[in-house]
Amino acid sequence: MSTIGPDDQFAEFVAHRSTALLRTAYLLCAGDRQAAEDLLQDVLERVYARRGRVRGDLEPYVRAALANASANRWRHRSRRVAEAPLDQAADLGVGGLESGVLDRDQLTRALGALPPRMRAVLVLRFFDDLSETDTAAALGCSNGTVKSQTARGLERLRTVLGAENLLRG
Amino acid sequence: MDTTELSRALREATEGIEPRIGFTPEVLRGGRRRRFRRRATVAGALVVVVGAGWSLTPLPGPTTTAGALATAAPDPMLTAPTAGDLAGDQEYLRTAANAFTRGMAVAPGAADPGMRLVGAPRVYWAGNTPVGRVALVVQQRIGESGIAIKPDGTRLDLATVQRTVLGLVTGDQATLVNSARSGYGSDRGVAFLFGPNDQYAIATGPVPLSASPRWEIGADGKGSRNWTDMADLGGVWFNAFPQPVEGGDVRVVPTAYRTSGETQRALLVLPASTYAEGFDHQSKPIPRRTSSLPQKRYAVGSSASPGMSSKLAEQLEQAGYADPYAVAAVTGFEVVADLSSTEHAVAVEYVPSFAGSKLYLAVVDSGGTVLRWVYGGPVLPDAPLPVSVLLPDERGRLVFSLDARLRFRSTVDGPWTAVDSFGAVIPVDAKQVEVTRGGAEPVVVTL
Repeated sequence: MSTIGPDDQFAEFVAHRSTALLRTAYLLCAGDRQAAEDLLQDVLERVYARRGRVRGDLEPYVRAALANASANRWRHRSRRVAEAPLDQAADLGVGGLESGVLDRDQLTRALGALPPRMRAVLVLRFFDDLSETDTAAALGCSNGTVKSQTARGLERLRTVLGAENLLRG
Repeated sequence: MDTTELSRALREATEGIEPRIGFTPEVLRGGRRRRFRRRATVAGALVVVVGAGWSLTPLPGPTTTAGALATAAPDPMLTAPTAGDLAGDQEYLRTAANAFTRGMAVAPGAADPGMRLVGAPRVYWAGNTPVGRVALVVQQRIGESGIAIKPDGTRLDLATVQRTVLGLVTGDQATLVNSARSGYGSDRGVAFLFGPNDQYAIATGPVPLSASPRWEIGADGKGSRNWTDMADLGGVWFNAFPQPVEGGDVRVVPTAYRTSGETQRALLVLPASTYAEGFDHQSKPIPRRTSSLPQKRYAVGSSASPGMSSKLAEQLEQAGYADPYAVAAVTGFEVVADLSSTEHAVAVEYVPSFAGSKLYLAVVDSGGTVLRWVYGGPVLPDAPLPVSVLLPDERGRLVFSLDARLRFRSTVDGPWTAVDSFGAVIPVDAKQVEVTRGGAEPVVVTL
């Protein structure tokens, strides 16, 4: 019994890992599903052309590219006119029935309130379970930067979510 | 919440997020296009840096040309006279509008910048239905500035777009059940489900509509949809499903297209009973897997079969197993085994509806062409033997259970034959498989 490596064929990699990658992209895009799909497709198309030059596993490479591209995407977006009604990206969330539970809408909006790099650090650390070293490597920064961004990011999330006891990390 | 809980919350926030159908082929097509472009000289290229350590990648410049901005047509919902047999009941219209205002104030997403309501609500339709009084109430939302570039290149001045929210008010107490914002594909019409178990549907749209409660799967695994013409209530369309429905399985389409399988014709369906569930307001109902096996491919023996995931949804649809009106292809694990030097068995988990994951086994040739399909039944959570499918032409049975030791026997009191892996193709006359996982007691599965 063996598990076939996900990078044997690019198509298989995409077919098998796109769900997990899309979820990372979804958080990096602060809950904007359409933007997440666009971002992931954009990154995967770019990776397709250069996959032969990627050393090691493809997935960490793609995750790093997603994190970096999401930051660039937000920079570009802030400088141009809207290309589609912005409310299409909005999120109506959970709310209501599950009071007391941090819902999807709250969380993704809170992530959206963070600077892209800070958001990427939190997503890679606490969603993708990357170590500080791996996160630093993915984002091209130092371990110290990851540490400080993590601490500040958690603090910002606490503030944005407006609940003193939500985050004690 | 500590960081562990943050991890959990992040995972919960992404539950149900799956790529759209055709995502993989689109990526491949796009990748090939980009590779071609990279090799060509693109005039007026825009240079974008993607990621630290990445080289500069040229992208083609905008394909649209600057010109006069188009303006949007007014939304007739905001001006059309109230329709329905209660249109003259001013007291009910006021009650419905008030219920809408009360409900919208506390609706999920009410604080979104784009949800600021302007003007006053107006009742688009009010009438008696077989389940009581119902009203559809509409109100304009704050506009936005900017330019939308349509696929045909038209540049639309967004400031001219009248953004709205449409709400469903039901019951003698007049309660806002759900609401739909314009811009979510609602231009095709909106179908609200309401009542116990979402059994009632009311929809807007200019043409006759049909409703289907679910993708019905037969004993052979193949499915179909039963369609019912919705009743014309004078401006809206109504249907009462005879049985409770799972909102995510319901489809409402123009009657003329109900057999075409064109997902893009389907109306936005908003279930009431799962109102609290979706980040996208139920516009993309995505069924969930019922298997906990990781979404990987597992090879029996030394099989190097490439599997078939990139075209799985299309192939299942062509074979009659997958719903052409599915909005997402939710796939799970694959188990591949060699049957000969030129043929492989591929057992795949696919989720065709909210009824849960199903198992399908394909016999494929070395070129990836599907030669035969076999339906393997539901994939049950925590089943001791999640894969047990008879191969066609009595070629054996594919069994698989991750991280388990397997033995089989051909009579219920005969000797056991050990399988040297988590999976195998065992003889067609095998009667029982013993599954042992970790230090747990063996479980005997009778085939």
